[in-house]
Amino acid sequence: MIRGFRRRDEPGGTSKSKPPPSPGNHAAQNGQEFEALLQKAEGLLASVHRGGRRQLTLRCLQAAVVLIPALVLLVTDAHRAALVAVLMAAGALGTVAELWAIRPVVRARERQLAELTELVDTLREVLVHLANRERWPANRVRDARDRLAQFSIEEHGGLW
Amino acid sequence: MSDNWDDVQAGWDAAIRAVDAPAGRSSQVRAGKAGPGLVRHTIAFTGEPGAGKTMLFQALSEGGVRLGGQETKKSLVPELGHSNLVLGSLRIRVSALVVPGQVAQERDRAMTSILSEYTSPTGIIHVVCWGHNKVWNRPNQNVLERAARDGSGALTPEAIRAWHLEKELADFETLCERINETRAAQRSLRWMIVAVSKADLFWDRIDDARDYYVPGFDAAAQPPTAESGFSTALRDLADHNDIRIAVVPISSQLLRHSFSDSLRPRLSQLDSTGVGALLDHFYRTLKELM
Repeated sequence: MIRGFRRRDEPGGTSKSKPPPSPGNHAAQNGQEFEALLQKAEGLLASVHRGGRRQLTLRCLQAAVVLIPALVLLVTDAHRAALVAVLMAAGALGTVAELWAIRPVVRARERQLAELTELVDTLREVLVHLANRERWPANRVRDARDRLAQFSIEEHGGLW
Repeated sequence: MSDNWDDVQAGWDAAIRAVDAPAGRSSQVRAGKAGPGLVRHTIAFTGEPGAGKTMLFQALSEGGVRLGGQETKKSLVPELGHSNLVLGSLRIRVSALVVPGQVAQERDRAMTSILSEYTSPTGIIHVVCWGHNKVWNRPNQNVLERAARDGSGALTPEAIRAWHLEKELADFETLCERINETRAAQRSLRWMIVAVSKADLFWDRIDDARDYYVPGFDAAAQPPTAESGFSTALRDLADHNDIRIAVVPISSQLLRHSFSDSLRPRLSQLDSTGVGALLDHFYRTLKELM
C-alpha cells in the first residue's frame, strides 16, 4: 500500500465499498484489463502518429504533382496551352489523390483519435479506484501514471 | 507547523463568521492596477479537473465572483496569467499558473515548469471541492454511475461524491509527494492554501467539510475519530516542510451542481453577499501568507 492510494475501507479512505466499473466501452474492471486497454491506447497513439506521417507525405506528394510540372514548364518557357494542359492534368491527379488516398487516411486517423481520447479519459478516471481496490504497489501506480502522462488531454495527434 | 493547526482552524472559522455576519465588501482588498514597485510572487493553482481552479483564478484576477453564467470548460493547456493585487498596503504582482488536473502531457510540462528540482512557486493554491466535482464526458459519467450504484441499483449523490473524494485525495498526495521530492520548501515555496471551493453548494454541511480538510478538528472528539486521509496527508506535508498552511472555504461562481443527469441538481445556499465575504476572506488569507 502506498501513500496517495488508500484502500476505501481504511481510515481516511472513503467509506464506499463499491465494485469497479462494470463492463462498458472502455471501462477496465481490473488491473489486467487496465493494462490491456493502456497497451491498446499506446498502440492507437503510435498508429495515429504513423497516420499523421502518412498524411504529411501524401500532402507533400500532392503538392509536388502540381507544383513541379508547373515550375518546369515556366522555367522552360513552354507554350501556354501546354502549361494549362499539364496543370489541368496535375489538378485532376491531385483531386483523385485527395479522394482516394488522403481522405481515407484522414478519416481513419480522426476515428482513431476519437477512440484514443475516450479510452485515455476513461483510464484516467478509473486508475485511482482500481489501484486502491487491488492495492497496487507504488511502482505500478507510478508506471501507470507515467504512461498515461504521455497522452495529451485531448489528442490532436500531431503530424509526427 | 504541526502544532499550529489551531491557527488553521481559526482561519477557517473566521471565514464562516465572515459569511454569517458580513461587514460589507472590504475596500482594502481588490484586484486591479497597482502601479510600480510591486512585490512579485509566483503562484501555482493545482487540483483535480473540475475542482474550480480556473474559476478561482478568474475570480481573483477580476476581483469578484460571477453570479450564474457559464461553467468553464476543461482546461486543455496550462493557463498562465498575471495580475496585480492590492491587499491593503501590500501591492503584489502575481504570476499564476493553472496546472491542468488530468494526468497528461500538458500537466507534466506545467508541473515541470513550476515545481521541479530547479523551480518552485512562492505559493500553491490547491483547489478541492469536497467531492462536488464533475466528469467532463458522457462515457466517463456512465463509468462513474455504474460504479457508484449500490446493490439495489440506486444512485446517490454521496456515492458519486465518494468516488470524486477518492480521486481528490490521490491527487493531493501526489502533489505532496512532488513537493517533498523536489524539496521545493527549501527553495522558494513558502505557503499553501487549500481552497475548499464550491462551498456554497454544501454550506449546510460546512462543518463536515472542515473536519475532513483541517487536521486536528476531531482529535478531541469523544470517542476520538480518525482523521481523514486528506488531513493526514496535509499534516505529513507540514511536518516535513517549513511552509505556512491555510485551509479556507471559497466560492468563485454561483452555479448549481449536478452530480449526475439523473439526480436533482444541488443549488447554491449562499447569496452573492456571502460568497463575496468568502472571497474577501480569501484575499486576507493571501495577504497574511505573502
